[in-house]
Amino acid sequence: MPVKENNEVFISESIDRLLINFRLGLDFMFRFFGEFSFSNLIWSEFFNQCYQIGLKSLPLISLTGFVTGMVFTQQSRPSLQEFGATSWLPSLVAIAIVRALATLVTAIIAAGKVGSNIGAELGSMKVTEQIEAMEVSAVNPFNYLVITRVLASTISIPILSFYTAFVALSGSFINVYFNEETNLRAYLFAAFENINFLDMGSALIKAILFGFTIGMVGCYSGYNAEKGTLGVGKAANKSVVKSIFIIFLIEIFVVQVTNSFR
Amino acid sequence: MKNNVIEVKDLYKSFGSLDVLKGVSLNLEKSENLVVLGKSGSGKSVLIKILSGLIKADSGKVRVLGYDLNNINRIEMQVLRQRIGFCFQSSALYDGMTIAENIAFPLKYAVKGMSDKEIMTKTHEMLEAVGLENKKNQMPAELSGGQKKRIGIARTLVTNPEIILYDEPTAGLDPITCVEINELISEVQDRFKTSAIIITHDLTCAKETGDRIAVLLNGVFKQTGSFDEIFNSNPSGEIKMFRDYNFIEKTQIAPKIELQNF
Repeated sequence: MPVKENNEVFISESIDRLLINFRLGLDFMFRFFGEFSFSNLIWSEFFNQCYQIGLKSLPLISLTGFVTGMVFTQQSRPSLQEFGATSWLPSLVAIAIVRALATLVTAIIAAGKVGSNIGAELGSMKVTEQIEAMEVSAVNPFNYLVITRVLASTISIPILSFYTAFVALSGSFINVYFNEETNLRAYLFAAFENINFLDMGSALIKAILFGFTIGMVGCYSGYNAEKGTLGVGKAANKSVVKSIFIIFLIEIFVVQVTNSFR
Repeated sequence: MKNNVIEVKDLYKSFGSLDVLKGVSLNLEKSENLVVLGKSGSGKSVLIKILSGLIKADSGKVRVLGYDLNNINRIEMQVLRQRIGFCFQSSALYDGMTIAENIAFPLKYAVKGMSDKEIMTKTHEMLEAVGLENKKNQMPAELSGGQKKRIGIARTLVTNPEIILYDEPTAGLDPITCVEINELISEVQDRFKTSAIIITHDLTCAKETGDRIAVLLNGVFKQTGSFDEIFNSNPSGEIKMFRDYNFIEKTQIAPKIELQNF
């Protein structure tokens, strides 16, 4: 006798769906770790994705990072001026940028640009049967599409984050240079005086987790897009919303853990 | 028992409460073109997706080239998929790749040990076989529906499959292109000695390409035999309706259009 699917509702339809999606998301992540190996990695597609995710994001990241650094410096100045403490500006800005802003700004921009792009691309491939076409060609679509993108995102986002930090500090320096007439050497000395290994290490860990999240959520949303063009739009949207939500959860968690070591 | 490359017995498949296949049995002999004819939603595409391992059957025996699809591991499935080809209704060409890259894709990532030169030669050979060698550097979006179908067939043939599964090869094409695709399917059988299951609701396609016809209605095969046995020997019920609908479509609508243009 044929086996039929069980459509029983356990808690409520929406909660059931949420839990099922969570479970499927975890399965997708475990599948990534189960199938990932450097010997099976399709290097050409991986480098292509590094180019798409990393290099092509540089103009947007540069602009955002520079403006963030400059505006943050500008907005912090009046408060410090009240106490005659504008000499603390480089240190204040550097701490904010290295500990939080650079990775967060990069991750949010990447979630919008890269995550939605991955979700839409894979979603479109899914609804037009291109993923099935790969599968029947004896090519593992998970290996070709998901592993390369997740890995490229996990590697590119930390590099972009450090680049954002550099550009943001440059923006901050220009602002400080024209207002306080501080030279570069003095600025750098003041800026990095209070930055330690824990700040750099936690920023790196966060950036790696953010990159992994953006790649994984984008791929999961696209890979599981429902039929039709509406599904492609939904996949792109879900990629961004879920990524940003998880990014903030990770931020809170890592900050708590890091602070316990201070 | 004859030299069967596909054996299906008592196959059942449901999606939720919808029973799609209700005890389907069929055999495909070596070098035979079997046409599965049926209305939209009769389960034709589900049947060939089960045969290619894209969907799992609820119950029933499915053997393809000696492999039992109910008890097949991933490595065996990869090997089997190199021996079967699948032509999608939508062609499912990879949007981001040129035509040559589309055809070379299975050779590059599924077949081990081929040099770039061999891949190029084989790709060129396939483009020649479908008469589109001048399109190799174009993108799929630049091709017509008929050209996309031809490239889909070329991509399927590139790995020298023993069985080809065609999903609605003439759907959405103009009558002249339909004739060309039908000729190409017959030519592929003669030249490459492949066996094929052709899913269609087009009687002309069935007549031109099929050695044997199986009519699938409401999840079961109503009748199997040659085209003449089924349609020219006083059919009744749904098979008669099917025939009459197809002939009305081809003989009565066309003159009306001619008159309007006149």
